[in-house]
Amino acid sequence: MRGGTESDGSLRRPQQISQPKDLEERASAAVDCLRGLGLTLPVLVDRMDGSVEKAYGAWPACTAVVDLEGKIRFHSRGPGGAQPPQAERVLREILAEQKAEAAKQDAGPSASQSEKEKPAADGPASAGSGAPAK
Amino acid sequence: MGGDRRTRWAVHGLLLAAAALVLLPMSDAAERPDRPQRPARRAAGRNRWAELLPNGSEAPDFLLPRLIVTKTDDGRWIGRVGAADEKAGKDEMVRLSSFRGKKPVCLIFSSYT
Repeated sequence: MRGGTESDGSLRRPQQISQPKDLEERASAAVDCLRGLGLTLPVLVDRMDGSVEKAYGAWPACTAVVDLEGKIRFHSRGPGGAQPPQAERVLREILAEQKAEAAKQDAGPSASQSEKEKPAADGPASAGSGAPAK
Repeated sequence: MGGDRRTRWAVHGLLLAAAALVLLPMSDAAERPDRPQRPARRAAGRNRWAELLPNGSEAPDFLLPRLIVTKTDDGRWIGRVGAADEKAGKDEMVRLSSFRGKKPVCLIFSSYT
């Protein structure tokens, strides 16, 4: 069965949906899902053998956040696997880290330049110590 | 006389078979100490949704087609699976690792049932 809401917000009457037999049927069911739930996010269609679903242990529900290095930062699965608030929090953390990293890199050349200037005055022992120049 | 003997052998055979049925599983468990015993198996069952991909582990990479949704002239919405063909445009296929170093990715798997 499938449900969802109509475009006017009213509840959609449940309809019978059969297990898709090929990718076309799966795509059709996915369109019904998008339209029915009013989703706008990009949708990818898994292979018929569900290989990606299996790789993530994603049945019946799963939320995974992958960071900039391609590493898992959050993975929730099982019947309560849909965890949007936690996923959002982790995404925000990653974006904040990315921003901080970018800011660090922007400040990097001038900072490293001042670091280079400093050894000339203080001697090589203080190079890279991060101590403020006196 | 011969009939009695045959009956006795049959009874002995049945007893032996019954004993084997009882003893063999026990010896099997003894020979396989690595096999989780019942309480452990039950615990594993309870922990069915245990962590599969711990934090910091490599996210399984994939290359999957996008769902391309278009509206027909008669107002219906139809979907098709993105083509793997290069001519169709690489935009129609998504590889997870292509976001590496660029954007974090949130994957949501769910059932629309």
